[in-house]
Amino acid sequence: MKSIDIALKDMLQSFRSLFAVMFMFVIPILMTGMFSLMFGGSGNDEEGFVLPTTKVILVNQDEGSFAGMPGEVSQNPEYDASSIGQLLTMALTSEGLTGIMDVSMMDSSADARFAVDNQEAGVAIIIPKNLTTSFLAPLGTVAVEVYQDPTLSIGPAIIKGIVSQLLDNFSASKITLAVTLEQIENSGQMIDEAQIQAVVAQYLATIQPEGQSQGSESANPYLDIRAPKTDQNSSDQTINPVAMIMAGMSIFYVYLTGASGTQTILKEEEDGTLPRLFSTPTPTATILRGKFLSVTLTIIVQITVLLVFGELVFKIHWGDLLSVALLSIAITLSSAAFGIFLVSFMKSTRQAGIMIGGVVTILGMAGMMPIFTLGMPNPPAFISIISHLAPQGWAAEGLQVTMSGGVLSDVWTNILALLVWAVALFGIGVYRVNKRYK
Amino acid sequence: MSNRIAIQTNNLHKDFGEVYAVRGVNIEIQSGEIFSLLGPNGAGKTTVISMISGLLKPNQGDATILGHSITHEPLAAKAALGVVPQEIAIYEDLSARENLMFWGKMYGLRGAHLKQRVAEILETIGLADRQKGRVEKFSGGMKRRLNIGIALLHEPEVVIMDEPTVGIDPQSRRKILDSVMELNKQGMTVFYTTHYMEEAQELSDHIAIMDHGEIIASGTHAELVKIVGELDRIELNINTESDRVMETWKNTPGVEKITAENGQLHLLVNDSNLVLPQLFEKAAQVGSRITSVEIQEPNLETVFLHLTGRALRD
Repeated sequence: MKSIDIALKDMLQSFRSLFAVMFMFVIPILMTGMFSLMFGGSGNDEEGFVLPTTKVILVNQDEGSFAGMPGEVSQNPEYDASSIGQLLTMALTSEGLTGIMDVSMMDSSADARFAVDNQEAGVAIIIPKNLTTSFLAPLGTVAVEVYQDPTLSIGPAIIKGIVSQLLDNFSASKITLAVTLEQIENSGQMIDEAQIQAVVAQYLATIQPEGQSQGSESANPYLDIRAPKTDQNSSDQTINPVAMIMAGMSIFYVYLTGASGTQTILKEEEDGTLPRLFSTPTPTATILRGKFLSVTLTIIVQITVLLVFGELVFKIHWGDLLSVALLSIAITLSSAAFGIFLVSFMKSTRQAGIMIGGVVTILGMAGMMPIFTLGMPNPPAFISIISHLAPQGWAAEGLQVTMSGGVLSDVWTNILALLVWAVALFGIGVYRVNKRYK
Repeated sequence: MSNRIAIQTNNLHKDFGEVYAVRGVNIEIQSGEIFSLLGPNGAGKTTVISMISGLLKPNQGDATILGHSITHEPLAAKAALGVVPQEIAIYEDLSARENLMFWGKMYGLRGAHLKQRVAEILETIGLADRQKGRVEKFSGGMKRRLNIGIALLHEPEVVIMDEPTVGIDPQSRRKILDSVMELNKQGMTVFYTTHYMEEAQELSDHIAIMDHGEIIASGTHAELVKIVGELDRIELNINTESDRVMETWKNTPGVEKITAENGQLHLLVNDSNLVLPQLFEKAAQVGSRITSVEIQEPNLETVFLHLTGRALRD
């Protein structure tokens, strides 16, 4: 009973401390929130990785026309674009890109730039009036302007990439044309303007449907990308980065709470309340049990809040409830034992403040290495070995498995490993603390 | 006062490696009395109290609280004791009431009885109207009172107070001394340590004087003063360095002891009326002049000076 009284008193003190609450709940949630904003979405597996929608102003000043050109482009009613500017406009406003960019049209390039400067839009794409004519001229050059808000990074970069890809298609035809003309001239033959335009028209006829289908998969791509097959773990990493970051943050701060929570033993010793506790008819073992219980209960509250918050706000699906619950208990026990172990080597809160921060950071980083290398295909084996040298590594891996759809049979080794860590750390810690206070 | 023994120590020893803190301390405190352990800082008073209250294990010897051995029945011994530590040992981020409720539980109080005792103590220490306020916002005197109140929650028969008046204002000090006497009137045995001679003199039925880890004298105030007999204590200031004057005065008839402290000279003399003229004369012979003189009746300070050759506040 006295253990519970000590635990409740310690918890009351912890939750009254703004500093402790910040580190237990606010910072891990804020950090995840920041990454979530950066990656532009939640951690919902089903939604996948959501790119930010960028407001784009498109100014099509292209005055050129395919009219009068021979062949399919000018004659085929299926092709409703009358210029390259219009072709670009159609591609950029196609349905496939609506999730990435929100395009509105303007007539004046100055107005478009002004809107970007006022942060009413992220990007302005200004198609010059001589785009089609320059394109059709064998040696003509022209530039499409992408004017962006310098405070944005990801959205404009994506828009630039799309515009570049579309323009590359047109550039390719010009290169083809130049090479063709050079070859014909080298062979001593003459080619007239009509024949040149026929070649261009044929190329345009080929790329126009491709441009219109931008953003969706092409049925018959000329080029296909094949990547080397990765190993099982890598191919299973379909978890959203935000979910992994939340898991990593939660684990890091849970172990920090374990270490900081048990630090109250040192603080109470310095404040004189621990000796006073020892002067009451309360056995030393009861006092230490109360301290361990308070840290354990605090971590249970912390981990529950973080998991539920992640599920509700960041839409993270942590996985099979039973597996996550047992894993959380194992994480809780190992982090509380980790705290007792660390504190048993410390002599003062001053020393503990520095040492705990350092040790938790180093072990946290070692344990989280698989998260840091999430995007790496076939990460080196030593990463897995290093991460398993810290309890944080087993915890992170366990959550990774449950988020990938793993069940109890898939995470029982992680649970067992964490419990072994807990028993070992608790045993050493309690032995040392008992020795100090007996 | 009953004849029951409240605290008894038997040859208590404590050392910290090479440094000995307490050597063979024997104390017997009767139930219902105020017993003061008087000594300068570093004499070993807190070490004795720490052993009696179970915070330190003696290297040798034992102590009993109401017959319970601190080594064999530590929980029973602790249950009979209320300890007021020298440093304020309370939770600053809890309220006065929360502190009392928690410490009451640590002493085994529960339910309605606990609430009743907390309410009574809050009244006793004068914090009833501030019971919900966080202790961190309390004045030093209020914290001291709460520090004492915690030790009284479980109505112990024996209260140990380790220098409870250190570093507080005279008004709070007066309140604490009055409350000690009030507790004693209610039947509590009080074991009080101090390095203030006046407190020991005012409060105590019995006093033990401690120095360098040993009890050098004990008894009632009257018995202790008798040790120095009819000696007078004279405090003098001179206008030159003290070494030459002390050397001259040492051999003056009637001068029993002479020490210097912070430029002031302390003498124990048989009859101050006879000795003083000689002191003036001999000082003048070596070119010194006495600038102030104070003659004191024999007291505990005199006893300590007599026994150790040093002033109590050294």
